[in-house]
Amino acid sequence: MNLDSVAGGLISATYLVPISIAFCIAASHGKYLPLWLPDVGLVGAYVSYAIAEVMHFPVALALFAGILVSALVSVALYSGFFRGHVERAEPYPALLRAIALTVFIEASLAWSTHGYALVYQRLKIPGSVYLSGLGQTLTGADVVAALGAIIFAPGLTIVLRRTRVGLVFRSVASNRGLAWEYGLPVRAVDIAVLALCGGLSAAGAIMFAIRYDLSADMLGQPTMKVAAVAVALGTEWPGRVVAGIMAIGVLEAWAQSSPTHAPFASAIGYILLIAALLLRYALPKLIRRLRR
Amino acid sequence: MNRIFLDILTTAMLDSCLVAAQALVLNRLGVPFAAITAFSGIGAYIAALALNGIWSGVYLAVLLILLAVACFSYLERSLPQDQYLLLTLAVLGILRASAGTLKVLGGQIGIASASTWLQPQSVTPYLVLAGVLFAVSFFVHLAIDRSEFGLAVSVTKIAREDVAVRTLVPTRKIMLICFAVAAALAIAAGTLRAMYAGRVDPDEFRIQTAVILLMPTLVVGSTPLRISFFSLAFFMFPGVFGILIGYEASGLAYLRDMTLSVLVIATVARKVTGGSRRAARTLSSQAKG
Repeated sequence: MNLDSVAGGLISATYLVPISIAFCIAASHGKYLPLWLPDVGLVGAYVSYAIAEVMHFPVALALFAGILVSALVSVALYSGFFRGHVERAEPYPALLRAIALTVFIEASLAWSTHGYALVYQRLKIPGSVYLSGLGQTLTGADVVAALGAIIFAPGLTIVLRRTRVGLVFRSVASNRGLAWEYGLPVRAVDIAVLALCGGLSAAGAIMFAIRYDLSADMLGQPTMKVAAVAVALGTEWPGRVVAGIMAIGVLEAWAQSSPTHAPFASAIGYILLIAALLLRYALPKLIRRLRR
Repeated sequence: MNRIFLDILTTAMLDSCLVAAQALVLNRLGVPFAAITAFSGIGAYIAALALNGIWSGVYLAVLLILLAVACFSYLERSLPQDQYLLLTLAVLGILRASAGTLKVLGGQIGIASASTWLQPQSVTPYLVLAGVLFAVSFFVHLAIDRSEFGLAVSVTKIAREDVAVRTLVPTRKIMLICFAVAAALAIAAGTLRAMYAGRVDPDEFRIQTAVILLMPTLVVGSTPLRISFFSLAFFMFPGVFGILIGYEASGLAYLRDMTLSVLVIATVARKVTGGSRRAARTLSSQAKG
């Protein structure tokens, strides 16, 4: 493994940090897998595109509108489709609905754009630097994504672990009924969490679209990767999941540096998931049975 | 024109068989299984390997199928439903990556699966074979619907929530049989698809395809007629209407996916929990009586 592939892997993985943090927060809040959340961010990215590139409004307004729309849609979808499942602790039906919602969003976006990818022109962050030591060219978007990862991941971990707001969030996440009885504003926490997660997903999707161009299915595989790592490492630990995403990014870049192993790069996250699930659920059961 | 319609019918019948196979496990047994394309993909590669004379690969693939059937049916009880569903999709991801990596399978480009005695794209013989397989999948569901075994399958579905019910039927054996039948249907469909297309590539294991296949499976429920003919209509709709009304088929496929996902969002999630709970309540009240 050389320094180039490590740097390349880290840079591409930083683009997934906002989406993974949003996924983990929503998953630990609702105790289900919110596969729909990155796609709501994708809707925000399309809104930003329409406002900046089609209507030619200012870029700042387009970004704000994209993030706001995503936050509002997240809250609305959660209230309409997922709150009941969260309150009744039904992760499986919630996952089925989440998958169906993902299909709906991706199909409707693809239908409205005739399946073509869109390219940000005005939203592109200008400037690039070549780092000869790392053998990498850092674009403006790379720098913003890296700064975002450096600020968001530890920042949110500190907020969740060390502040009163974080304590309220953790209380609602761990036992909604008890939190309600203690007078905590459960509904307000729901709205705040989903708005934050929707906004973060939109930010992540816009960054992703700046690097890879905007298409309806651009977040399909990254979402599965984030879900795999989040389930494997525990959705209640966003910091750990971000570290896992970074490590997998490096491993993927390393695999991609060899032409024979390049196609296997996409499977690393899934291997981690299967190994974690077997260790967590199947192995203890097997050991118990063997002891008996 | 006729040839195009027959081509659409052939592929739609093969895809419907996959829905029927998945419905056997997902709807009848209640196992959150979304990776029926894993079996059809392996079946497709088995056909390609056999037609290229790579018999060691065929034996390994058969071994892989047996291992997959055993693991999927064993792990179903151990894992929470949502994580089991994610695991089945992860298996697809690994299979796709492996197929793309292995040189013997042609890597990312894939491998030829053309037969000399049954030419690819020759519609009539494949239409007959696909029709036979479609009829078999229909009669499998019909037989399960009207037999004692079908009753045992329903009890196995309830046994997930009601532990006391597990003593009534050998749930493990029933699960294994259902998985084996579903795998056999999917392998046959995959083999025919591969021979009809003349080429197999790692996209056989695409997670997106499995997710799209999950939508009709969730909507069709467990009635044999609905399973077979609704899924047939689902797969034929974009191609046939594309020709009839002159709209692009991919656009119609998006519209179809949107409609079906709305149906899933609106009804199926409630049905999944509501149905099994109702059945469990009925059974426990009968047991008490």
